[in-house]
Amino acid sequence: MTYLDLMALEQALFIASIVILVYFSALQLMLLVLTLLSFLDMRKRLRQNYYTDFECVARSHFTIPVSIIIPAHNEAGVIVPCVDSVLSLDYPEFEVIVLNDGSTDETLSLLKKSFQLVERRFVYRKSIPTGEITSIYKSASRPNLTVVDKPHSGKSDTLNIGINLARYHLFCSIDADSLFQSNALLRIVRPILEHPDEVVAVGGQVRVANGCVVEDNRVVEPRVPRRLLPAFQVIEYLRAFVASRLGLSRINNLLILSGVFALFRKDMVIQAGGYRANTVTEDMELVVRLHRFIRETSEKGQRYRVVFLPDPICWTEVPVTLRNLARQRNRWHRGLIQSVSRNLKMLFNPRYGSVGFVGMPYYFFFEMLGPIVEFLGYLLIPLGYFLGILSLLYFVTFLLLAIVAGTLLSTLAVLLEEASFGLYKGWGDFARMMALALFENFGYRQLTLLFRLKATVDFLFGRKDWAKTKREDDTR
Amino acid sequence: MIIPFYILIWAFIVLVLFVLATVLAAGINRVVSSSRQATDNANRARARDLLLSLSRESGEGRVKLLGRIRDFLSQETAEHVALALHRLDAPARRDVVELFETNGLVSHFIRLLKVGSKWNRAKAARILGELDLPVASAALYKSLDDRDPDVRNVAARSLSRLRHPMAQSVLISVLGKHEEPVSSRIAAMFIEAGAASVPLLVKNMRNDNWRARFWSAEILGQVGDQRSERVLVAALKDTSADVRSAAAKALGKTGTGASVEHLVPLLKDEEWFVRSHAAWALGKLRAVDAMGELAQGLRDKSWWMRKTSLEALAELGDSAIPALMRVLEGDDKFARESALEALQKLGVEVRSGEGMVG
Repeated sequence: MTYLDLMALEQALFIASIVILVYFSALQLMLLVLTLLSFLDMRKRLRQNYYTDFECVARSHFTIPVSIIIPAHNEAGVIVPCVDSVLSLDYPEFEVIVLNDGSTDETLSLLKKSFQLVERRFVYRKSIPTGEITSIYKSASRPNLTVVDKPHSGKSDTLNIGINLARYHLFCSIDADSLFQSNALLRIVRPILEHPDEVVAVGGQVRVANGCVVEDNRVVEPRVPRRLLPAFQVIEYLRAFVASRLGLSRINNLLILSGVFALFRKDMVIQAGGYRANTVTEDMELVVRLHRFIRETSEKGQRYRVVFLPDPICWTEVPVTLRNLARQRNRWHRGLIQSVSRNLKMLFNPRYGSVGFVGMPYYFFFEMLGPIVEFLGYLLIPLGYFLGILSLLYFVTFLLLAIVAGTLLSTLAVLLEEASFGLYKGWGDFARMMALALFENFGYRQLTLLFRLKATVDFLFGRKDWAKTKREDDTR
Repeated sequence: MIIPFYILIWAFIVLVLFVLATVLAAGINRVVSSSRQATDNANRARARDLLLSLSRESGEGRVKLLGRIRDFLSQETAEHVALALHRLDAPARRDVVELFETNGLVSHFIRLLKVGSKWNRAKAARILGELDLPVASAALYKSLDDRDPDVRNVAARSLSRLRHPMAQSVLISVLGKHEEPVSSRIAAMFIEAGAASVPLLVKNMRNDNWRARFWSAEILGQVGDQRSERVLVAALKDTSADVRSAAAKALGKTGTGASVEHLVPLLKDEEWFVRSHAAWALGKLRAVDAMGELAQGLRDKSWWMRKTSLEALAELGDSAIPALMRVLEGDDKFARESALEALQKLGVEVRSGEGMVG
């Protein structure tokens, strides 16, 4: 390598370092602002809850009924407890539609046996074009339970069939492997009761069920899991749900609602075309499309909202093995890239209002490109050191600085949880959470970075499947 | 160097300090909130115990106890005492409410309701609602126009808890004036009051505001008092489709056979939701005479109308079978499918292929 080449390389490294530095600073600043917004919003929500007469909502004739849609593909291990837990939710009027998506295990037979299912012909409107249904069952013991048997056609199509069958104006999509607080539905419906014309979708908070004490399909004692991998995810979920999504929701720029627990206005979803097939993460894709659809079709100045609420809580099992975590994160990140890249038109487009200038750029630059830039950062700084551009001290300090900034966000998320719900009661759990928040950025974060990087490569090479995480029972 | 080293060091130190501060804040928050929680729980328990003892005591013991309650009662503990008031019998309740007045707390919370910060106004509205005083209801009534929706909600909830007759006449005058949660809270109160609220609601069906008429019809339907039938039948010809629809629905719940002939013309209303509610009501009233019109409803252009007509026919029982069988012979694929389902519901064996659609 000639001296000139080295000079050029040094120059390139210098520019790249500046780009990465600016990028990291902007990212951390953005996350910090979102966390602060979350603090403000959380305070408001908790006060509102204190003064809300949920008992009245639970008894009122005017509470809007909800259709709960549960797609199930090979969920024999969890389906009956899940349906039981959903049927016992505290809510005046709701129906439960379980869709057996061509399971090869005992999902359907268990449902038939547990709920005395009787086959019925059923008239419904195909508002969204879907695949075929094999048969429809009604429960003899639970009048508000419908079970649909259908050939395997994927989660999006299954959910669309559920929407077509839903009788009510609102539908709530949930995952079969989740557990709900009994008041979850009452809580999640609140924004729609208050602003029925404005709110089009509401997401609830998803927490880690691993390690928690579960009785009668309810989490009775939340605990931080003993195993390290799910324990790190507790902090990660707190950061994602309590800190970041709450902040984005406050400025109505939320582009993701977790499919594990989300409520939608059926008419809007039907008008937007329902869940789209051939998507990796159908939940994010739908929310982005809803934003786009409303911004494109509504009159100028018409208000609408996609809301995230921290208090309707649902508990879900997270992966406990590296292999499953890798698969899950791979799918999530491919889904994110797909949803963002399909809607790139919205980026910096004034037609889409603030979503075009805040939400979309956030997901594009920080969530989608994040792993690439972060990886380059980890690569370039050592390179700078080896080429003698940076000193060892400078290199180490810079690295520590980046890590500590991440740690601050994690500890802030734990503080937010402590100051709001304080679900983890013991001091032992508190100490574990703090330790996890402090050490999450040393190793775990880099690990998930690799998973997301791999997902980016997979996406570029055309992998489009919906890799399902293998079930592992980790609750007590 | 991109940025001077000393800035990096300082940034690092500041961030580490922030992290430590956050950890410390979380720890302190845990200690403080658990101690605040403990104080709160203790105050709540003490308020409950004092008030429950009051019902048992008499004579000098009662006077002494009232003195202890007066000493306990402060701006901080007022909410706990107010929320425990519902446990008391009328005389004991009156004595404790009087203590609120003598301690100056009633005027304090009325003032807070006007000039306090948002959540203090909400707190004041909640406490005043529990006290159930005429003087407080006037202040609460004004709070229905508070600039904040949360305060309006709490005020509606508090007003709906008031038991004296004046509250009802005040509330009926604002029915339908506010957003959905406030109106539905007020409506819930009228439903709870039941038959006693019917004369007021019947009168309100002549209100100029269509929202007031709509809510009154909704509530009359839930209360289910036959005194409202005449006024609901008249509302079937209301200029507002929402009122017509609510009246039809209400008649389905409370009406008698006499309503049927008035409901049938609504099956041809221009609005689908009016037609649909009329069909539903006719089903509930077992209007066998309207069978032909309901069978026509299976061909309606609105899916909801077809669906409710089907359900209404199924409600009519066996007498609907001939009409449904005739639909099976028609051209309309959807009507055939609907009729088939209704017949299945009625337990009629339909030969394979009849009315079946591909």
